Amino acid sequence: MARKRRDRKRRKPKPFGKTPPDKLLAQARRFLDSRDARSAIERLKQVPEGGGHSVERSILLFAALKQRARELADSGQAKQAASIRARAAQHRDSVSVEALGEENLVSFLRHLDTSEAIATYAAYTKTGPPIERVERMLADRLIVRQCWGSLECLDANHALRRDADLVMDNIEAMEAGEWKRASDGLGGLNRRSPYAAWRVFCTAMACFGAGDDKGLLRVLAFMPDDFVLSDTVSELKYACGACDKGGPAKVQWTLGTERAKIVRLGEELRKAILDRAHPRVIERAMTRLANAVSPGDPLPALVDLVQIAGLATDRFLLEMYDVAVLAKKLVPRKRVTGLLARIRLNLQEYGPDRWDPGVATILLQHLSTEFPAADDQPLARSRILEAVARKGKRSGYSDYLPPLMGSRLTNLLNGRNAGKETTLADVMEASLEDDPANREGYRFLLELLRQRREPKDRQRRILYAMATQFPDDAEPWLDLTTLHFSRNAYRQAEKTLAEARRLAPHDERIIDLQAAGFLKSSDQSRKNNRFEIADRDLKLAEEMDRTKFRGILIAKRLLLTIVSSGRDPAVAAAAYLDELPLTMQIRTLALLMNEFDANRQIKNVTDEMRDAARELLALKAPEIETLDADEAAGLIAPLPGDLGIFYDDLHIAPFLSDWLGMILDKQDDERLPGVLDILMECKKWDSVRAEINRRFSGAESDKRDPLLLLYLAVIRYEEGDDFDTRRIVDAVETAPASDRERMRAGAARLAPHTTGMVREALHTFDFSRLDLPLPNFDPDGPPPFLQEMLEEGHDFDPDPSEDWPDLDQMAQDEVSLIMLMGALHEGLGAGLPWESRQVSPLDGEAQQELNALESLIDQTRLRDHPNSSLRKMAEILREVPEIRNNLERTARKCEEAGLRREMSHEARIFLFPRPYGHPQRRLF
Amino acid sequence: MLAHYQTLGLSPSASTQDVRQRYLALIRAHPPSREPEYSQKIVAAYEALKDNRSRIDTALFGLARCGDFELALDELVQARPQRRLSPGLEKLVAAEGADDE
Repeated sequence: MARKRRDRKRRKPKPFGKTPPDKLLAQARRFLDSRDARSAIERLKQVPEGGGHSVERSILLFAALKQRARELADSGQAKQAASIRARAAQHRDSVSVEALGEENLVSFLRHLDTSEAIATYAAYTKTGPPIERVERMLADRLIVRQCWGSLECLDANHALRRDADLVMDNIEAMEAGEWKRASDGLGGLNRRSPYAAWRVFCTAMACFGAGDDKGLLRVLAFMPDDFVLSDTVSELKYACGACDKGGPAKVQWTLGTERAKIVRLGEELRKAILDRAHPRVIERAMTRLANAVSPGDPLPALVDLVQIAGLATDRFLLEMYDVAVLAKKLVPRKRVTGLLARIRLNLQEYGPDRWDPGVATILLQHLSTEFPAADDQPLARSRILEAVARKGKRSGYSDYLPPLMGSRLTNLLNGRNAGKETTLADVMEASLEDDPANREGYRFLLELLRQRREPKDRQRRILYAMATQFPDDAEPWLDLTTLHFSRNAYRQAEKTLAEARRLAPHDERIIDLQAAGFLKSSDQSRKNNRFEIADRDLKLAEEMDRTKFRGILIAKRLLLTIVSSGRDPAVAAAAYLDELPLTMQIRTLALLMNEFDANRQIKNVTDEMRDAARELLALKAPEIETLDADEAAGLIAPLPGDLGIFYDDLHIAPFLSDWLGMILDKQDDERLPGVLDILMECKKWDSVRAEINRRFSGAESDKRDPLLLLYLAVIRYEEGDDFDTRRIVDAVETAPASDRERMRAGAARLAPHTTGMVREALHTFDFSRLDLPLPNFDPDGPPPFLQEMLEEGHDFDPDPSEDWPDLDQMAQDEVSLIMLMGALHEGLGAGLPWESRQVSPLDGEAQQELNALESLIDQTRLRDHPNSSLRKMAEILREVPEIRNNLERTARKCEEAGLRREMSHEARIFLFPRPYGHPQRRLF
Repeated sequence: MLAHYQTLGLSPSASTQDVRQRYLALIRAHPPSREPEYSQKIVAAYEALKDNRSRIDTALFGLARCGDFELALDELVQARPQRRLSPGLEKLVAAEGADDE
């Protein structure tokens, strides 16, 4: 009770006894304008009755009480409203209109209802002179409120009444927004008419709608300042550049001019980011823009703008730390981590080699804040997992995952794959569990499984699941048929093919698969010495005459004839080959060699047969000399991918190895890259290298084809003969401008044969990242960006630990983790343990640097790991430009110091990258 | 994400049904034959929001598709069509709050 009394005492208004009446009246007027009737009444009660201020006091009290009565009525307090209204009427009646001056009269009439105001003014005009301001105000109110009946009390010749008919005739055009018509209609109005401002306004609106800014500017000069639609007039002036401040947002939305403001604010934000302004400036610009874009609820706009700022980090215009601070300031705290993880995930989508499933794990943990609707969460999880899998495949992790990434991938699946090796296919399968209606997702999963040569049972399970999910789709049934054929499960293949035929009876692929079935059946019968059945099935396949199999049918027929008759291959082949053109003869013999290789383990195929076939090929091959360039190139064209169910390897070139020189010799400069690409694909890099060296031999250096130089540089780098990328950069930089597009296309073709940063550079044709200067790091302290983070109080430990930085253990502060991931891309390489701990960059002691690297390998327990793991680890490290530069520099020093033979094979893998399966050769 | 809603003149809380209805109305009012550029924007916005999967995909990876912060910013600030409306008197009066007696 005491507290209640005390509070009431506190709420008691302060006495205004010492405030002069003029000031009190001015304050009351201000409160009235801001629609605070209670405060206005409080002030007015302090003005003493009588004296020189009584008229003004009464008018203002009348206005304030009337406004208060309206407020009470709106809040449902009808009784109190009626009482206040009665008090207002007392004050109104106390005012004598005849005694009012012009200012007070305007003020008094403004607070009366329109009909009352007109009646009062009509009474006034009987004795007093007409007042232009009042008549203009009344005209505005008549048009806005459409209460024309109240004009009856005015004299018939009064301007307000006289011109009313003309205005009323054009009200309909104004309501319909046809301002030109309204302006024309009001053309008859006298310039001194109280409605004249409306004629000007209609013309202004017509100019605005027609985009005539000059006309608009001219017309607006005639608008009176006290026009009722003053905010609209302000916005029109702003739209034509007559002033710097427009109307309120509601008016802008009504006129459709809000975009101009948004564009202007957008430019401000763009400029702030491009000029690397202080984050506070960027924050203010973002807040203004978000409020303009989405006035009611700026949060969605702020979320988008923080993400846009995140994109700017890719151009090094903003630090990831600044983005994190912006996020913390602009969006609710619970959304910060999820938002930053989204930004990182988006940034990963850029470069072909940026991939880290750790970011997706964090985002999945914050799914409920990012997607509050329960129905959206499984779908969002599915999309994130699919993005991780697709990105992983693009980055070349579909067949191998380094241990660190493997554990993060397991985390991503919430540990459900614990104890097993998690693959991208597992991630994609988990994605499909959440969104089984994702047809493209199934296709992608099957692609992943085929690429990894996963057990076919898993492929079969996925295909049956896809067939169940999409019962109208023949594709899974066709794939199942192919799968069954490749497993020699003919009965099952027939069943699935029948299902595919039912769903898509006119699909050409079904007839192809039917022919493939006969061929597979024939192969199987031949292997089991059931030659008659093999011959029957082969004939059936031949009768179907499918273009796709035409090339291999002769080889299969030849093989069957040789195996079944036991005849000398030369004699058997003569009957089939003699009628064929030379190119077909050579290609068929190469295919026959392929068949012998594929059937080596079958008892009825002997080495003698294979040798005889090879001799036959050796007899025919010299005739390649007689072929033209196109025919020669056609000899080594690989088989179509569809024939993968018959052959493990679709390349023909390996069987013509001894004659590749002849084929390449025939190619002119234009055709050569195409042929080289085929050889690159089937790993005949030594032939490519030899041919390029042959062409360069004796040629002046400026006459050498820059594209061939690029091929050579890439092969040298990938085979480990070059330990830095200078030759690649030189090859691109020395190419003339006219060759640029040719070089770009060549680089894109070479990219799949490379790894890491070189792959990214070739893929994007941006070699600047390969050409970075050596990092200028300080061995006594952390790199500058980590120092800044420390000074800002960020709780990330920058001291390089004994082991590799374990990101998973740092996950307590997820924002730090996300920033650290950014830091890894932005230059953590400068802080690698062996650099900052032991080696001075200035001493130039290769042995010391090598020792540091060897120690690091020991400390990280990488010694004795499989070479493939070490290569992949080295590849990941080399993705960071600074780390790659350091490794290359150390490699160069070791090479110069003759230490290459003395280092461990683990260190050699880190310093001299070499792809799998390519022995080092020195042909250049 | 917001840009697509702005192109269609909807709030981010709009349902899939709202998106479809607005798309049909807009594409009828601005057919590709008359306003190819604007109708392309309308179609892109519809494609981005047409169902739950597209909407979530856009929310997660929409920015990456822009490729650059400037392009993403342009998309947001220019989402609203550049046009001067011709509102009627009643709308103007309501926007100003000038009809209070």
